[in-house]
Amino acid sequence: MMRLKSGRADGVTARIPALAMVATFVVLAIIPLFEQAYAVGEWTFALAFGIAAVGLNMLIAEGGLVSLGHNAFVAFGAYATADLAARHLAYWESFLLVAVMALVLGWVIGAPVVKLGHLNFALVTIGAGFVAPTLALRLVSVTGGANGEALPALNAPGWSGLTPAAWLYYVGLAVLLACVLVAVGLRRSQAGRALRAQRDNEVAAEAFGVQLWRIRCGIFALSVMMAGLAGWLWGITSSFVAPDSFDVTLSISLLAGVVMGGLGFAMTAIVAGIFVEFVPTWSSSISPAFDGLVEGVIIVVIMLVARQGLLGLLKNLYDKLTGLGWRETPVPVAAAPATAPTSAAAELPRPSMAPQEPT
Amino acid sequence: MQLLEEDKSAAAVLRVAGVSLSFGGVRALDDVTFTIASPQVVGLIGANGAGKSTLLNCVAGRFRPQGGRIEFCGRDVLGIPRYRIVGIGITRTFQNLGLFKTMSVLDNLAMGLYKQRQGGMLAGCAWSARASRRNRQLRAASEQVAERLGLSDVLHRRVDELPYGDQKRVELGRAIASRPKLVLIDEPATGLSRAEVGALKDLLLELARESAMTLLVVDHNFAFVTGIADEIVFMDSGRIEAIGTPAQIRDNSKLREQYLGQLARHD
Repeated sequence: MMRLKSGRADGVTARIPALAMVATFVVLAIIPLFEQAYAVGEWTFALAFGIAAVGLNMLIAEGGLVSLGHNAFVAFGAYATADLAARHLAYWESFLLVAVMALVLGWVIGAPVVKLGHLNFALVTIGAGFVAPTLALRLVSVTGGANGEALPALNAPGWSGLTPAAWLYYVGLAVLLACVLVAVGLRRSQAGRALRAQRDNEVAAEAFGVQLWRIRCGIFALSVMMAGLAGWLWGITSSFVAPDSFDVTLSISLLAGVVMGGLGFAMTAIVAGIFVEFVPTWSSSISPAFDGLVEGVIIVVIMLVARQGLLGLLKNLYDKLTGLGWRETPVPVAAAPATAPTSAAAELPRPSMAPQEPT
Repeated sequence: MQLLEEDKSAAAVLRVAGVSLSFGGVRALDDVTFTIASPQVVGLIGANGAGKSTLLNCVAGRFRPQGGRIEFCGRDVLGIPRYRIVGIGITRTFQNLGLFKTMSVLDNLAMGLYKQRQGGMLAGCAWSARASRRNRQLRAASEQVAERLGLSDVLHRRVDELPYGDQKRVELGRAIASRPKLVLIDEPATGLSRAEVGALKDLLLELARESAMTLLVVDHNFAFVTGIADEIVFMDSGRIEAIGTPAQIRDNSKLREQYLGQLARHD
């Protein structure tokens, strides 16, 4: 493999991240073939949390904003789906409506709050996260109060030959894939660059034309939309939604999942979804009485071993194997990167200040 | 520099009139007035606290003066929202580097060409063909700027991995990428070696000569500034002490006092 001074991979090496993503989705696609309906349902929940995690990952890693209130928006999506189902709308119709409503909700909440600064923004989202279960309990006419709401089952279409559980799983997988593609598309675009710029240096970003308020609102609204769609999937999978379905610990779990997967990577959401859905179960099986403690220990161990998250660990291994850095680290790290390319820097000829002679 | 008589037919590049700004009890700018009639290199010199950077920040829209007007090509700058300033043709560099640290050289330069209208979030999310095309154009244009500044070798490195001198060049590249009419350059020579300062001088002169760019350069290095400037504005304690060509300005007594050491080396 060629070692390039410019620090960029070439040929097959550059394709490895994309290939890994394809491979991951292929693996996810064959899960229903090996699992019982109940396990497929669990994996569908993992997909739902993954969908929420895509938005949260983008918000934190690219946007530089932290939200600890995403449980409220998942709840919103789930309850909205239940209400629309009660009005006899098909699930694909509620999918579109929930997406639009959540996007608007994100703008409506974000617009006044984004201007308050990063810390206040986070605090307001925590508030939303805490208040959501109470709102669900109290707004009886909309949410059914403590009784919750049931959702009709989703049947698989005849032509698919799939069980309802498997069909729902594949629907969820398609939505997750779409969200990941949206996130990757944004990251590669000019808007993504502007987003990272305002995260790194908001004064300079403004000096070069970035309208801070608008771009921050936009990314927040996008993440709220994805949380809403996560709620849509969750509601259908669960067939039931209640006030305590989504309390603030979900937001904390999502945040932990995203950080442990590695902030900023395209596949982090999948790691996060699996974390949120399965780690509590694994912890319980290790120690029913102290499952919270076990969960905490798992988090601590992973953060010690892989400071940039599990995907960050993979990236560092990849760097070591190829001898190159990736184009850029997705998210700023507090200390110098583990694989500081000091030898590569020494190798570079010091470019002179004089402009190049025209050839 | 000619103090412009009220000749509205040809709007001056930059007209600063009666600008005053106080921070608490400190008068940072006191009735500052000067005009840059046509594209040229203007040096802004003075001791620490003279108000040079403050003035620069006022033109860039970061500080709001309490009195006076600032007009750029006939337009009032003070009423414009900060993020629109680059759109009317004013860019800047920052005293302590304002780079996007985790981003590559290419991305930093590309931000110099950012135009929100040409590809918002929606277009990006949807992988729109127009957004991709725009991105390709940006990359090509950024690569050209990089080549101009000798940064082609490090195009894809993170800027915080680069040596200081290279970072300064990226900062300059980002400011000139969009071919602005006015570039506010804040202490470009600070921290550079002698050779680097010499090369910077050549580069700035070349840029000013080949395009209709006006450069407003703030720096402490007297030799550097006099080497590139057509006109010099000498400030002290928030007021303008003298305006003139480098040759004219040397005779100013206050300036000789402050820059005695540097002047002596060149007399």
